[in-house]
Amino acid sequence: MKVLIVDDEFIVAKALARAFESRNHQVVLAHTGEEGVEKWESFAPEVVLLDVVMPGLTGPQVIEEFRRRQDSNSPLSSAKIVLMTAHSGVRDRAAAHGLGANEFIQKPFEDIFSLVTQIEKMVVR
Amino acid sequence: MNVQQTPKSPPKVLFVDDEESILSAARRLLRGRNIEIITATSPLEALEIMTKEDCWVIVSDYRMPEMTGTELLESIKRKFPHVTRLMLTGFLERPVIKEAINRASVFRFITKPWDETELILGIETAIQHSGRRKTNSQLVHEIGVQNQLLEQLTQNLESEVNKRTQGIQESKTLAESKQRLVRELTAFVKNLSRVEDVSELYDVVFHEMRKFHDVSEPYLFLLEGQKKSRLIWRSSRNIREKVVNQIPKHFHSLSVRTSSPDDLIWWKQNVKKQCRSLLAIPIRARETSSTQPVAVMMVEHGLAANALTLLLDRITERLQAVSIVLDKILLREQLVMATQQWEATFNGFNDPIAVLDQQDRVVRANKTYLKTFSGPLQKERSFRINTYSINFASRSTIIPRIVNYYYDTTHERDLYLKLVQSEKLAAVGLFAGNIAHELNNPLSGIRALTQIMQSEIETTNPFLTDIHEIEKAAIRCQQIIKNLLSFSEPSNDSFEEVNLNDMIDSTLPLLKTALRLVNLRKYYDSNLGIVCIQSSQIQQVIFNLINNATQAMGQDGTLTLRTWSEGRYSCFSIADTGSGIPIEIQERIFEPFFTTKGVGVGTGLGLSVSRSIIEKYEGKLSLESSMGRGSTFTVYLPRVIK
Repeated sequence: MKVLIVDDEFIVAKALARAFESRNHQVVLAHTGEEGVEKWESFAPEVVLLDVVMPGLTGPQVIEEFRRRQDSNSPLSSAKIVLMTAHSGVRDRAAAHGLGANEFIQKPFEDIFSLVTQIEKMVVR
Repeated sequence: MNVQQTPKSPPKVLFVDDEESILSAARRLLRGRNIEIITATSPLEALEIMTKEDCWVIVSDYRMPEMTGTELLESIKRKFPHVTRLMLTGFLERPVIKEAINRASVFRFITKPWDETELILGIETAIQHSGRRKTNSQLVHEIGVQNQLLEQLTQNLESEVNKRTQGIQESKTLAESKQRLVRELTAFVKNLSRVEDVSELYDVVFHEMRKFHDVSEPYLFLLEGQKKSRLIWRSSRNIREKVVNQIPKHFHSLSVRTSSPDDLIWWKQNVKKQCRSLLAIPIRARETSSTQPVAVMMVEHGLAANALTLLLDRITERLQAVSIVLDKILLREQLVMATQQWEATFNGFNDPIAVLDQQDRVVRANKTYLKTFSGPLQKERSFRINTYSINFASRSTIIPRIVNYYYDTTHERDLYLKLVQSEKLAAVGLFAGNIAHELNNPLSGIRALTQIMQSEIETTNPFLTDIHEIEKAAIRCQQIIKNLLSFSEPSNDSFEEVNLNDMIDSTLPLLKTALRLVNLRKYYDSNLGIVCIQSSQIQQVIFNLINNATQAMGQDGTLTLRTWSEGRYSCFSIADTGSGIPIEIQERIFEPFFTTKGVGVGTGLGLSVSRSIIEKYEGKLSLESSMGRGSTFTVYLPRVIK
């Protein structure tokens, strides 16, 4: 499974990458929103883990920008989008959907491996 | 009278001769000399003239028709002995001369026809002789008169001396009596000067009056204003005083008088006694122009007119001194009253006031000051001090003083601190909101990486335990952040109506480890009522308080949980048997980030979070603690009224 992780916090991005890699997934990292959009296009991930609060383009803006660039029928746009935030304003799925995401993950993570499992299940569904 | 003085009028010389030619010759001869010549042509005429004129010298012819010259001169000698007698004669027979000298004491004989020089010399010598005799007789007369005067004077002097002697006796008696009076007056004034109040004044006046028999005990009216007076009198050895209303108008302009009908009526009404004669004496204040007396003294007496006069004299003499003393007493009374009023006002202030000297020593303070600042302070209090500089003038010196007015700002300060605290909490909330997320991110990474590392490295790897420590630290950091976030983020839990007994019991399992080492006592009130809360928050409070309590006690302490109902509150308290909380930090422990626990043990947020939660429900979280006995935290939550 191809996973794009967009997070300006290096250690978070790295930890997520290591966790997915340990389950034999293919991971690409981006540390800014802009980089995220580029890699989304070039890497064509099945899952995009997107931090909400970032300098430059925010998570939702990355989604918006990606969609603006792509034809709505493009297969690339079928990637599952997971928003990650600690902010209270985005605490449920409904809110995440409103921002154009499929799933919402509350930071901080209690257990990184159960998170990976959760996302694997989501993609299979 | 000076006898040596030459008479102003020329000496008169009487010339007697029956011949006209002789007379005119004599006139002619003596003209131009200081002699007045009077002539007579017969002895009778001569005698006639002598009675009228004061002649010094008589010159007579011997042969004349009516009588001889000797006879005339003899008669002149008898009648006018001081007149010097000369005789003119044509012949000088011895018997004639002898007779003339013997009978008429003729001074000199001048022969006719005369030698002019002899005549003039004779006359002038006679004038001188006569003058001398005249002077002598005058002197004799003068001496007589003077003797008489002297005698008179002596007599007068004697009587004067007698009179004076008598006067001295009299004035001695007078002086003695005056001295006695002065002594008495002095004694009276001396007694007066020791007088301190009105009753003492009354006493002194009373004893003075007593010296006159038949004078009753005086009644002293002290006029205070137009309508009130104090009546002071003696009754069975005690000095009484009462307030009398309605003062008759005539009291206000009274002069000393006896038995005025107005006074008698007044006496009868107020003293309720029969009265023979009444003496009313007004006492005026010193140094006022007012005619109104400050007091009126009334005395009943049975004195006769002369004794009454004596009494009045005596009173008049003493009235000024009495005035002065009364003045002094009344002034002192006013001063005492003013001082009392001032003190009452001063002490009436609910705020402390103190007067300090220049060395900041308290020289005067009100009761509130003493109550507030003497003895140990029950609680830390704060004051705002308003300071005034005042110069008290005392005679010629000026005493600088400082007046401090202490305004108790403890309540104000508490409110302010609460405000500051809530602002601090709000700031913490904001801070937490912003920082928490920033910290959470890297913490998530650290925690995630430690988890990955733990899953990947060999169980024998010595780093495994280190990595485990890192994860634990990260978890603790996240816990702190979670606490912080509870300030800034409203809980999404729903409100529930719960019973606090159940609430506490449901929290206790979370504290298993903490409670393991202490004795737990529970005193629950079954009629506690219901509170409407968000369970997770109240649980957090209970958790924090019990956790603190167990930490405060260590092993073998006793934790007492109590619930009860009080007014509109459901209450619970958590008491420990720890060391207690020092008074100076009892309020501070509710401040965010204040902690007494060791580094890494407390966050300094538990109590501030707990209090902010309880206050959100309009409840109270309070503390009672005494050193060495432990602390009790009490939570009041408003009950649901049904």
